[in-house]
Amino acid sequence: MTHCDEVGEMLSGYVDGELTQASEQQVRVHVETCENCKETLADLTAIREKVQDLNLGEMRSDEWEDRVKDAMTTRSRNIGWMLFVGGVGVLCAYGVWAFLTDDSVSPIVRVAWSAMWGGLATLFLSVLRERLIKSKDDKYNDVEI
Amino acid sequence: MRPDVASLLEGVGPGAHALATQILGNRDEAADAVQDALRAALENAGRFDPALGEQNTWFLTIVRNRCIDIVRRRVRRAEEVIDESQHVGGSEPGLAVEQDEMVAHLRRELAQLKPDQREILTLRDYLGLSYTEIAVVTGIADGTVMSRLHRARMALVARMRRYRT
Repeated sequence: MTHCDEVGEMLSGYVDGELTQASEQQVRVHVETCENCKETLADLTAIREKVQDLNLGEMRSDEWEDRVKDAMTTRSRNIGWMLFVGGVGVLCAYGVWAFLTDDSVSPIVRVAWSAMWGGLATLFLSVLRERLIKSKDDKYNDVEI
Repeated sequence: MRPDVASLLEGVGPGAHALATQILGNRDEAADAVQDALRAALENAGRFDPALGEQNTWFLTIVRNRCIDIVRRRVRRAEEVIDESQHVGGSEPGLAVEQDEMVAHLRRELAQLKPDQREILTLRDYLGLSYTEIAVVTGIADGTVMSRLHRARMALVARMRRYRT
């Protein structure tokens, strides 16, 4: 004979139809003879139905559509920026290479220019890195003024 | 394989917001989490593996993970939800006045449950995910889903019994 302790959580599985055939049979037989478990089963079924009918904060379909379109637009924009920055990067790299391999410019000037631009690039990247790290936790990111 | 964005458009989105709302207990943060998850889903569409489950389950997993990130940030900042009008158990501006007192009681008692209990009730009873899908979304073992769900339901049943006449 099945005891209430053995059936216990299987009652939820029974309500959801997630038990094996053998377990389902076990629960069905037990519930027929146990008033406590029969009442618990009824409570579980009722609470499940009530939760199904609640509004738990579901977004309206039109609002969801707007959000998806907004996300896709943002993504396209990000791709555009990546292409632009990539193109500028390639041009800059070519310019630097052309400058460094230009024999008409003295070596001292080439070294000085390289150091200056290298220093600026390093400063820029360090500030960018700091801003990216902070932006992840910035709770005012989406505040519209 | 890339998931069908049109399906994301129609299907799981509104329900995903409900899941985020129940985990976070705050509508505004839930909206942020879902928006963030949506961006991540679009950027990582190529990583979707149909062998691991349906795309709805995949998206809900992303939403859940974003919610957990937000909860962790809250803990780091030691913030609390102090604006009760935004909490899911508080007043709901914009919703129709609820005539049914029991529905109001249920909503209030549901809000008092632990976040993981609200989460699993939302996944099963509200969104209708199977136990296997719930296991994928929450990262728990298949066998644990039933016991966790049962404890959540019983907690809610116990709270609701006080309103019986």
